[in-house]
Amino acid sequence: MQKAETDIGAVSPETQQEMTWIKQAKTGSRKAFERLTDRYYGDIFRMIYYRTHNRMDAEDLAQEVFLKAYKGLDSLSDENRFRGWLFRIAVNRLRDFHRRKKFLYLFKSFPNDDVDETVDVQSPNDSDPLEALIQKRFRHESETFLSRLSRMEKDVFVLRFMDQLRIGEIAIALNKGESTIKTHLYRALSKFKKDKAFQDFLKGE
Amino acid sequence: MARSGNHLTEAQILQAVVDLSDLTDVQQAHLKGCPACLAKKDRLDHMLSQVGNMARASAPAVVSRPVFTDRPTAILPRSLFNFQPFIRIALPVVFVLVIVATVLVLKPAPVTHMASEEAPMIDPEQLLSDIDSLIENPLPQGFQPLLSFAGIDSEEDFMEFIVPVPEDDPLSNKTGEKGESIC
Repeated sequence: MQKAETDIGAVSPETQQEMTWIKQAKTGSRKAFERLTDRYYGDIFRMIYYRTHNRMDAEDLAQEVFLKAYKGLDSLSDENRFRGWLFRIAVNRLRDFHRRKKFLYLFKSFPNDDVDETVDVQSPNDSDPLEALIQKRFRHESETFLSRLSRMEKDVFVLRFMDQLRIGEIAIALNKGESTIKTHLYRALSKFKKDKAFQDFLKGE
Repeated sequence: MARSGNHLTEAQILQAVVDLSDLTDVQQAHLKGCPACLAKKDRLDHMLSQVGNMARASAPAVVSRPVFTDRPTAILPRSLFNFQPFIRIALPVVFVLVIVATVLVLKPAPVTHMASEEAPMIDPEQLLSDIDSLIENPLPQGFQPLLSFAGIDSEEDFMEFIVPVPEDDPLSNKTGEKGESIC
């Protein structure tokens, strides 16, 4: 949410610095692109992790996203759109990944295998049992809520509130108009308001 | 629409969370000055930021990031060498054309059903007389002149020509009767 506030008002020094790095990276500066990577790698890694629930896959895909971005930086016409453009590459890579995974499941030899071995069973806070329990419950509640949303509502909700993208960035990432994004976000929020179990959990009850 | 005195509806609160600038100036002014409406919006904002915080906490820490080699700068505009869109369209088209051509080439010739359906039925009496004539003289018409050329006039002569009896053989010393075994 904090990043959303920077939508309005003058360009921050941070943003100005980022524009400089993007311009330098476009002229071939590896150092400048590494700085951009340092700034956004965590965001992209988490974005992919929320959708794959697998650390290895998230690392591999995040690396692919940045390598693709590095190679295709020339195609970025407007430096202000860098973050949205990066997330767009991630969204496309994730779609390819899920498509490939579905295709591979067609050839899976054990149809009764209920456990998806690609999903991390371990929580990052396994040392703290209470924290691990809370995270497990969060995953359950959030997935139950998200399962009630349409694909577009889900994409928009997760990009807005989990990945903390601005409306304009979501529009770039999903290649849709801002008004479309707002409509889907409004519908998703209406459903969120009705989900008392998820709200109670978030309130800590 | 809420006037400055009226509280915002649930829908308007949601609209404010989606994008504050989507509210009218009057609604925005009300929200700014109304603690009840502001509290409602803040509660929702807080819950949604909790979603982000908890999601972040559930993700593992980043340990490595990719290493890049120097990127060659483009001397000529990228679009000049950008064949990708062309290939993306051309490949499926070529694939379809190959399949169509293969189907056309391998298509079997139309089957004629003359033997089973269109051939006229032979008269049984005619068939029997043909069989009789074949028994009489099995040689086809084309071979008949050969028989006369060899000086064979009848079928019996022909059979003797094919299987000669020993007494007729001038080179044989056998004096046995006709039909006696040579051995």
